[in-house]
Amino acid sequence: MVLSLKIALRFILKSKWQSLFIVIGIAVGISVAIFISILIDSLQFTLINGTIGNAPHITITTDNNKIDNYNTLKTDVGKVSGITKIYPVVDGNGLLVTADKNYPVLLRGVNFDKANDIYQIDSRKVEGKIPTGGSEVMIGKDLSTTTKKNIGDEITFAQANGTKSDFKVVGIYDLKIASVNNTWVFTTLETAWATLGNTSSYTAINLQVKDIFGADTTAKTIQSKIGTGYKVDNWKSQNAQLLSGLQGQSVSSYMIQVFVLISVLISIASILSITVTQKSKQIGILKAIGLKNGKSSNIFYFQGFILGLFGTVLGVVFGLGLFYAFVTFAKTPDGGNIVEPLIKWNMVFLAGFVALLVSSFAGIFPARKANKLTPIEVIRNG
Amino acid sequence: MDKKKTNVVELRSMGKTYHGAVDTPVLFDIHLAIEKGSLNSIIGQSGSGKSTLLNILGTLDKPTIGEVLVNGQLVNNMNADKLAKLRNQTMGFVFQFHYLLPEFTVLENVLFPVSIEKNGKITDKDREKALEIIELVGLSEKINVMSDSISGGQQQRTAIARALMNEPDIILADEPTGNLDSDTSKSIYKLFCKINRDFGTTFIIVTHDDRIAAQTDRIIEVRDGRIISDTVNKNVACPI
Repeated sequence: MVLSLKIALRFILKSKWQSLFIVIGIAVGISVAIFISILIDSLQFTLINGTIGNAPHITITTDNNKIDNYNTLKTDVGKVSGITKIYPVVDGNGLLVTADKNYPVLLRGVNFDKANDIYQIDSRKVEGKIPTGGSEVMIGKDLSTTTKKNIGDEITFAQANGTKSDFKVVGIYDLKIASVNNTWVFTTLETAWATLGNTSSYTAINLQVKDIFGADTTAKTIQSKIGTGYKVDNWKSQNAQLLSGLQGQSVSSYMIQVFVLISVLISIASILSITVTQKSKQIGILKAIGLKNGKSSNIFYFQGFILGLFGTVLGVVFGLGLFYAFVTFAKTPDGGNIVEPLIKWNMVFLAGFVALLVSSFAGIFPARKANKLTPIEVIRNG
Repeated sequence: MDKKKTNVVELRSMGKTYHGAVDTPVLFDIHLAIEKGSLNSIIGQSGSGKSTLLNILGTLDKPTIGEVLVNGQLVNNMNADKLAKLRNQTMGFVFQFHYLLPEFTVLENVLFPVSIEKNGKITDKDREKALEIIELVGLSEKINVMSDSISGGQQQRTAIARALMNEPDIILADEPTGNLDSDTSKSIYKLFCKINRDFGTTFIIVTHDDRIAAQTDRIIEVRDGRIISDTVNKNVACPI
């Protein structure tokens, strides 16, 4: 072990440039794998955050749109692991009536203290204030633009039963999701109850979960806990296309990483095989003076491992640097980040570990070649 | 020959054929015993089979037929690792092309046989011994120099020091001065002779130079794969 390691180190150091190129080659391959992995994770995070981050991951409703026992349900649902937020809403569909045109909207009554946790309305308010009661409402930036309604303007909300209610726009928000910005009209729970004719019952309970991709499983657990009297939906069933896009992205990311690692494996194996030929005289003479086959093989296992170790460490640094450069220089026209950086360190370490494993494995081929080399081949061929 | 002396290596009815597209027989029915403490030379023209004979004596190559014995032990059926251990403990090699490891210093090259034996765990005693041998071959000033940074003669001296490191029973040298000038060659043979006389180390030297062979105790001449003469030189003095 000690001798083989010492010889491997000397072989590496003797051919400094060759070793450096091998290490850089491994590092470039691994940096691409790491960069792609972080980029895809960040893209997905950004996409999910943008699409469903502020939306409920799981929604509990009833056939008649009435939930009277919110507190009991909250206790039951709260026992399911992975739930991060529970909040009831009072929703009602209708039309925003203007002189020229009617716009389909959703009147959403929320407890703003709690809703802030989910929607971050405080920070996403672009103008005005949060509704505090009465006829105050808050509309999305896009709805404000299309309807030309601004702070202080009156809007009319018409329900299917013909009831019309007038509200005053006191705030404008931007939740960064066009469909929400175009249709949701926020108001207090009390105003929503008064407008929709409910008294203290909710239309839905919205939940957010820790593991967004496990929302379907969590939904099933909730369903079995609260019974079939309730409808439990999750974002995955409502966003099949998005989900399939994300999954496709993940699969393609894994494919790229696997092929990059295969190319790293082949490169190391072939370069080290050439090294065996380059060092055949040394191996031959060492065998002539007593080095056993196993120990001669170990020299190349160690070479693979050492080169792989340096290449991996450098590759991780390169990969992170590349991503940092991407985040720094790739900006949206308004100067924002194209992707929100999300570095899953466990994935980075896993990728590094796999790369190191692959590099060590690459030593098998030259090691076998060294094992087969006989001293007489070297001596006879000079 | 003094029959009371023990044999370090012995060949019995040994023959060697290289197998390829066409089988090439190179050695035929060789009987040879090398006595402990003797200084032997194998001479013959290029292609006569003398190097193959040396390689088989050194267990680097295997005979096609016949037996090879090292210190009375039959080695024909030993596997590669057992042969490697046997060579490490009983043999030293000096080749025409030196075959030092250029990645290591003179001292490290000399230490290799013991380093292989002890898996790299060199003791101070081993280092002292190596330094003594290096002094014997006249390279004390080069111990920490990389082995590819010294002259051909110095490289060959390093190879000789390496061959001596494990106090082998026998040193096998294949055209050890083939690449060296005549003065350096002389000094190398003088060194061989001195080691033989002082330490009783057995030598088999393959050479095509009759003048060198004349300074050994025994001259074995090979032609067309057969030993055609086996002459004992009495009272040979080491060259001055």
